[in-house]
Amino acid sequence: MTTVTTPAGRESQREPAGLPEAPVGHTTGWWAMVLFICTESATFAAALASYFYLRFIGSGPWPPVADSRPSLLVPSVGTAVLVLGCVPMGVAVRAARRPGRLLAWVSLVVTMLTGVAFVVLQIVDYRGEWPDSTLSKDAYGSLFYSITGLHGLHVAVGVLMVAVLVASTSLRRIGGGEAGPVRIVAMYWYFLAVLALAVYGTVYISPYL
Amino acid sequence: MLAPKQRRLLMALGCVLTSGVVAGCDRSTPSALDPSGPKSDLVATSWWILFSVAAAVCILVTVLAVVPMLLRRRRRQVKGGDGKRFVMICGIILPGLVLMATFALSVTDIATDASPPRPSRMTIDVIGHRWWWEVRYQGSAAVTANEIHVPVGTPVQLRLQTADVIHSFWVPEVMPKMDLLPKRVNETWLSVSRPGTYRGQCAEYCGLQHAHMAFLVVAQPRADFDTWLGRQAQDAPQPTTAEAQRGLSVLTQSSCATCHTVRGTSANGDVGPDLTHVGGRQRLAAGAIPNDFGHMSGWVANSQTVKPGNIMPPQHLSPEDLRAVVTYLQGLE
Amino acid sequence: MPPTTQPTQPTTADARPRTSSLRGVLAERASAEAAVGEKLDELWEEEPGLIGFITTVNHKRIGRRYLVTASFFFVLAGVNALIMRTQLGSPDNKLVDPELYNQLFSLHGTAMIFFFATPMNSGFGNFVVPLMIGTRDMAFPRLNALSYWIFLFSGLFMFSSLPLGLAPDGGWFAYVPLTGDKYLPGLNLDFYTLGLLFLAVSSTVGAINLIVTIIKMRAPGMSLNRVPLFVWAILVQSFMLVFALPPLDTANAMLFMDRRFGTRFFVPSDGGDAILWQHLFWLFGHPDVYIIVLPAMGMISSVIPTFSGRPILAYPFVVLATIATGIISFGVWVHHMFAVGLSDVSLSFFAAATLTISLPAGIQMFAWLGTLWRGRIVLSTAMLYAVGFLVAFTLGGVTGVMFAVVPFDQQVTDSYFVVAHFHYVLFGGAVLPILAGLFYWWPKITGRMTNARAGLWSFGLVFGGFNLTFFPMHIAGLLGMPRRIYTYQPGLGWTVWNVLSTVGAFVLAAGLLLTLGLFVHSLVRGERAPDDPWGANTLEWATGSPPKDYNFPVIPTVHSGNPLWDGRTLPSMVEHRHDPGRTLTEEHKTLRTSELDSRVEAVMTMPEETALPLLVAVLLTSMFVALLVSAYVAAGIIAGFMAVAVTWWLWHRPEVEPG
Repeated sequence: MTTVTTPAGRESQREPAGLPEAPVGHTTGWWAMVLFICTESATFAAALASYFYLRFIGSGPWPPVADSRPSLLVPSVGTAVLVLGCVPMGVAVRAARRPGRLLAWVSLVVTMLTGVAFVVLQIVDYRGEWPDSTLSKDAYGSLFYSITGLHGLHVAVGVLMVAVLVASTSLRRIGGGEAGPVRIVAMYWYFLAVLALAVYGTVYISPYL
Repeated sequence: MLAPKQRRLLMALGCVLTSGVVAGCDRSTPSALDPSGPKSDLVATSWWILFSVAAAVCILVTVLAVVPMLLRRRRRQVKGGDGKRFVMICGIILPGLVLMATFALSVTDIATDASPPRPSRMTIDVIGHRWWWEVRYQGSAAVTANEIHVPVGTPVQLRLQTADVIHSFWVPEVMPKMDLLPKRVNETWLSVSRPGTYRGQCAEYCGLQHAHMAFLVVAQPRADFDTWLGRQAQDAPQPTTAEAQRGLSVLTQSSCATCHTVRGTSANGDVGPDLTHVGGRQRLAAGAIPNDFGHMSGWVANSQTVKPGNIMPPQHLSPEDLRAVVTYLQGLE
Repeated sequence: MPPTTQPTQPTTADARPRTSSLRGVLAERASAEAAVGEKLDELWEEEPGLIGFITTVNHKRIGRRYLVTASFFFVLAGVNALIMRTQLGSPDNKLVDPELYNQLFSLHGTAMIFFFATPMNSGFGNFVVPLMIGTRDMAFPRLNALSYWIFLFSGLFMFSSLPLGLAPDGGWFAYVPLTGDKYLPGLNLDFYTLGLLFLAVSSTVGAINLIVTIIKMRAPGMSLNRVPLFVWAILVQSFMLVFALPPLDTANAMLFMDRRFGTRFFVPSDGGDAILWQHLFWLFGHPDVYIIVLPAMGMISSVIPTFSGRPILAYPFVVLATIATGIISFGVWVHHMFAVGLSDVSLSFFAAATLTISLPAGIQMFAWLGTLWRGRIVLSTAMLYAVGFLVAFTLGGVTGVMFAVVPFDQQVTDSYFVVAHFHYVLFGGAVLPILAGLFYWWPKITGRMTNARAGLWSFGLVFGGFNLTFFPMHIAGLLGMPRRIYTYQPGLGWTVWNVLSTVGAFVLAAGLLLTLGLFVHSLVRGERAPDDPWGANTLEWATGSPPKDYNFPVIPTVHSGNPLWDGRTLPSMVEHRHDPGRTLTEEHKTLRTSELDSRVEAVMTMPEETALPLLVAVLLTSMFVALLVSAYVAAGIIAGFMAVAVTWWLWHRPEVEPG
């Protein structure tokens, strides 16, 4: 970097022509995922805020008399599994940066399975709650199913993304140094885990408080 | 606040400015700038203060924006500098002072409006429907529609609710508006300082006939009001002519009775307005038409021609029955 | 080799150099094109004809399409308004029945805000931003194409309801319980909820695209303190969209579910609440008005310095004002609900916040005014519209401040006074700047100049008509006329003001029609435009009129906030014309730079044209149509196809950089 003084007396830096040896900095894809996470966070913030608003605006008990408090066993296991799934995801990111694809592939498959387990457990939970609580019985039910359902949908999309990564790794298009897409999906996966905790706290735990 | 004489002068000036030579300050204009109650008074005064400041700012900015255009051929040289101090003073400090004063005005007005000057001793329930106003006087059997009588100079508590969608209660000459919300009661108060009839209208879009959901606030001297309320609390007067008698039987035996209540008869519906003293009201159909024989006949026969889409279906009555019913209703004063 | 023009003054960016060329091709550009133009042409040129039309990913073509399509929706929504004004031109008028009127006014508001104002700004953003920051395309060109197609199809989806007699009729803010299925059954409000959810996809990805472009693709040397104000405005607006759309989407999804699946979010008897809708809606709705106005103000910040011959006054304050407006706008939404019956504490808090937000606007206003006073003015049509904006927006702004006095708000909200207010800030604060921007960038977009005298007539009729239409509404409102009424009775003192407004509306329409004619005439017979007809100071004027597909033959190195006036940025294009790190003639590439200082980080390969965006848009449209007609299984299947298409899309990404 050479420093040049202009006739007006200001110093300025003349950029060297040419390019950096290796790419540095965050990619456009990385930023796109960050912003996508921002917008989805705002969506869930609106949904969870609506939950608490409707709870406290009315004067009755919560859950309303017609409903019972949600059962905790199945959702707790599901949430724990999803959150723990961040570990293999992190392993996959590191592994993808190094040569060799086996560790990355295995970690991605394990991650995917935690996501599948979460969705399955959510369906089991729904079967337990129905028909005591339904989508259209009252606002409590509407909130319960739509908030958890929205999150479950996001997890399902996450599972698909990881599945694509698994296929990509099998076809040698990523891994072995090529880790960009894995990093980006990982960010989304961690976001799903944080969301799971927020949804769990709101929908399952707060009725007990 | 301003003395009455000064206030009237200001109001006259305001009338001229705002209503123009052509329209004039018509007594039937529901003007927020022609206040007849303390709440509207407060707002009108605040308006003139705000208007003066706003006009000054607009004139200043217009001059500052237009003059450089007009004088453009005179300036040959661009003036440099980054202008931070200019923007700081004119853009932050001066407006900041104006805005703080505005906030002080806002907070003071909110506080003044919050409760009446004296405690009110009458409460009126107003329930909004699509597209009419149900009015009930607490502590009395009086139930009416689309016309609210109050004693002059007395604060009255209002409890606003809706039976269906959101409406808004607005009588510009008397008070700023307040919404009618489902499953909630909005409490507010009003007071009218001059006797007279003041027009109000629903101010929250409520569907097809939102445009025809007006009402009247009638302020009367205390004695007159007490008489009125007493009469409203009574059951419907007995019919005095044969025609009216026939009208009563038509009413109770036809579909009228399924939707309307006439206290003292078997008509006990609660879909439409209470008609017990409908004959004494100034207007019909939530202010849409005057209350006279011809208009009422037209309304009863086919209200859809006046308020298309309203919930009252056309009534298939023979001309004689129609005349009888309207005769009866007109007698319910 | 043509000599580079050196300005004879010292190299400072305080003012437009006297010797900057206003004719023909900029010497620096000519020199750079001579070195690498042909090679780049080959790489960046797109297919002609229908194939090219369907598959383009070029930001300039897409930007132009946004402008044309948004203008089309503007005309449709404007015709709605003309019919409304005609109906209100006399009391007890029977021109339209209440059902049609209610559809007209609801669609007018919805279309103007969602399908005209924001997309028009996107059009300018799309076209101008990559040029202004010195790069070759948007960060995600295929996503850019997708966001356009979705905008087009969602607009058609929404408007198709009108000829079917099923246009939304709940007002543009669609308050429940009116808009629940109990009181407004029928497809009207389903068009509304689905149409807006559909559009939101376009707006969200468009915003993300613009943010990433602005953060990661600025020319080397364009550090944050050198970014043009229009780009700052688009950046802030895009962040606002990212955070403001979600509450709206949540509300629309909840309303759709209430109407179709019997959920109870807004049903008070079953634990729901009608005011929840209002909170969610206005949490979006208030930032939305600044989403509309900020880019417009950014355009004014481009126009005024150019025609004053000097940089804007107090640039850092204007940047801070833009950011402050964006942030504070999320904290004032309750001022749309002052008549709902909330606590006095709430009222006072939001009154204070509402007053605060007018401070940044004041900062910008005086920066513009100060620039005018210190500059050497050249009057052009764009400048006329800019001055018109200054006057109109001030008037709208001061009535806005009045609304912070809560009891006054309670008198005039939901009356024609507020209709006057928001038309002054929306027409005055967005349409006038959009027209200024159109006249300003017209030569760059089309390569033609417009007729100055016709421009004068355009401004006169539009500005005069606009004021005649909306000023009387202040008075009608103060005289007690509520809004959203399809007719009114004679004898209330409202008639004369309505007549004036109606006359004004036709004058305004005539002015807009004249303006349209003026633009068409320019396209057909206008004088050819040079690179930089106005002697402006930002990078887009260092390209051709219209620019080549690749924008810059040599990516410039930026040395100041006024790159065309500082005497160093333009010569950098000549200096680096043989440097492959700036000409990037291998494949379809451009530079990725750092967020704050815009140092070069990497070279990115940009995608070629493809029909995938159109395919995904068509699939998404079918999905929304399926939802509309309650074909939920079909919608699910289509969603599956979309997942496949999107996977295919992301699979075939251009050469990904390791990271």
